Amino acid sequence: MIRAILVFNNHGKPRISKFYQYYTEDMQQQIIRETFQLVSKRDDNVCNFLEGGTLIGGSDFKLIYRHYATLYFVFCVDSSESELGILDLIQVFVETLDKCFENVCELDLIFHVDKVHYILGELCMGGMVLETNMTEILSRTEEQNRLEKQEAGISAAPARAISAMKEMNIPQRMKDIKLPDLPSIGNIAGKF
Amino acid sequence: MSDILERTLSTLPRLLVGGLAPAEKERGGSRAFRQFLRSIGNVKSKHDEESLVKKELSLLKQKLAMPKVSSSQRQEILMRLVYCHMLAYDVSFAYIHAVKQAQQGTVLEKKVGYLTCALFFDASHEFVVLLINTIQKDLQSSNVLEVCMALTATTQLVSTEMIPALLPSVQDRLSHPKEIVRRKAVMCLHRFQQMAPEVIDPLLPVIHKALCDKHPSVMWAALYIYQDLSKGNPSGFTSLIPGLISVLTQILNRKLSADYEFHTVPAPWLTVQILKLMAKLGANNPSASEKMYPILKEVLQRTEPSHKIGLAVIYECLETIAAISPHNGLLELATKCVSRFLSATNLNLKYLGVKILTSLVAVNPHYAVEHQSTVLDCLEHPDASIRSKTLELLHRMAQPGNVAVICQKLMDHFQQAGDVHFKTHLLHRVNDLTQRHETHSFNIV
Repeated sequence: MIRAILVFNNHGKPRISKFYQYYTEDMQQQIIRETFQLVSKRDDNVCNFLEGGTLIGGSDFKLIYRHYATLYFVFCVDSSESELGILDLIQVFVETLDKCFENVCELDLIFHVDKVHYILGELCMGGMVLETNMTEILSRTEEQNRLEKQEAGISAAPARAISAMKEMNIPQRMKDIKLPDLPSIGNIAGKF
Repeated sequence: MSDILERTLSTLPRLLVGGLAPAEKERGGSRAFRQFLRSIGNVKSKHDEESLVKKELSLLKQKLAMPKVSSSQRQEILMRLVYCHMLAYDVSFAYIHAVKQAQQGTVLEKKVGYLTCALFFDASHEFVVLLINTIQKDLQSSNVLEVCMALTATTQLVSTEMIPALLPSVQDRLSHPKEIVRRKAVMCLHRFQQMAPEVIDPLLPVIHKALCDKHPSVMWAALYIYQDLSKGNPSGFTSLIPGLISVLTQILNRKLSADYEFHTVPAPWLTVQILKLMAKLGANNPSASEKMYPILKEVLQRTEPSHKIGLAVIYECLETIAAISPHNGLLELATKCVSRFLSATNLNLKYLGVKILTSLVAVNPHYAVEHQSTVLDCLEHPDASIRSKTLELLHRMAQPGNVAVICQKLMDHFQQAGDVHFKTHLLHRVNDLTQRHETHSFNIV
């Protein structure tokens, strides 16, 4: 299980924090601080796994992180998660952000904290990995963006709102075609 | 005056939708928010930051209380509050606004409301009671987006006492025509299972149906529930093995849609989940394990190690081989694969090599023999994570013949270690060894 997803910059300033398990506010802050201290003192040429955080869950728990330019992306997970799987999940997360914001930068994470969390919401749910396909995640968050344009458009520029609604139908249809396009697994149903 | 000016400026880009200021709009954040961030970036002391944030918070509090706040303004205020909250400042005055936002308004407003509620507080907060009817209603909505956000909110904001109220609606969504809704409903049930395991027992038939869903991603979600179920009672679920083998075969034969491929490896995350479940089902169960041997060999041989995610599958397969009833041929094959991890220049792989060797040594200590020199190298490795994993391996390798040497090594590292947590851990290990092998004489300084 993923207990927390933390993003902070090289100075330890939190940029995104998401906890999937209950911790008091104080504890959350301590976890962010401890995680930053543990991760930031490691060189860039060591492995991306780290044990030893005492606060979040003791010996059963591990930090899996990636360092991109000015930002650390840290997933705090228990022993049931696959290390390499999570490492690639972080990559999926970052690539999705990059696609969504076109060259994502630190400020995007603050100004568009809502969108970042919607992406996270498609990536994991209740601390479990939900979706790993970037195209799928993007198409779900696109729905959100369309909705936003549509709602902003209705008050400001009706013509635009209408075109937004027209646009909305096209990918919707595409998705409908994609959904039943999975013949193989149906076969196993009988075998269970 | 400046306030009016600021408001005019912040609404300006919206008035020009798609027109003159698209870049400004794309960047996001109002002028005031940008300015606030700039000031926060420039503060010299914690005290300066505090007074700056307090000022911001009182401004936002005022703005929220104004009768005519537009929906997009309110949304931005909430996002500014999320930022202050992340910096550990008290924004409890806004909780009720977040709740109200989730309760009423357009889908978008509700979505912002649910998000901020989940970020500001959790299931133990008294306000959650105010949300239960809204979640209930949204779960039954005909709008897929609304159902999805209600399901997500359920995993974040529902306490154990509320499960009975929401369970029927969540269960009902398991037969929704959209795959994403079914999948999220299963994830919700998994969350309920984590909070109150007994909730799941009467639902076994519907969960089994989810496992057989025609969409693989719903099956994937259902596997999480079975992981937890089989932790307590592995023998009760061995009937799943033929089905799991069949799914693995189909994955290997690339019968799943290309959407599940990641760097040309077919459905790696799903494969890892299935292998993990197999490890639980086959542990101490020779007849169950026997059925798995051929497919595990196939996974090991047919998975492309070209990308890391392929190695994630191979690694998990090795763990499964070490966890189930032993099969000599497979274990020999596994030891060969371990070399690939241990000798890798990529330190992530080296780390996992040490970890998997630890699991294999638990089956039979002689698997470590051929890697002995690599293990000794790892013990002096500059990376602390690898050193610490190797000490773990060393602890597992201890036998009457070598226990004194191993304890000595552990004590050497104890003296060098700076981290208190790690020191304690080492002491526990040494203590454990001395107790287990107390008949042997020790000579530790």
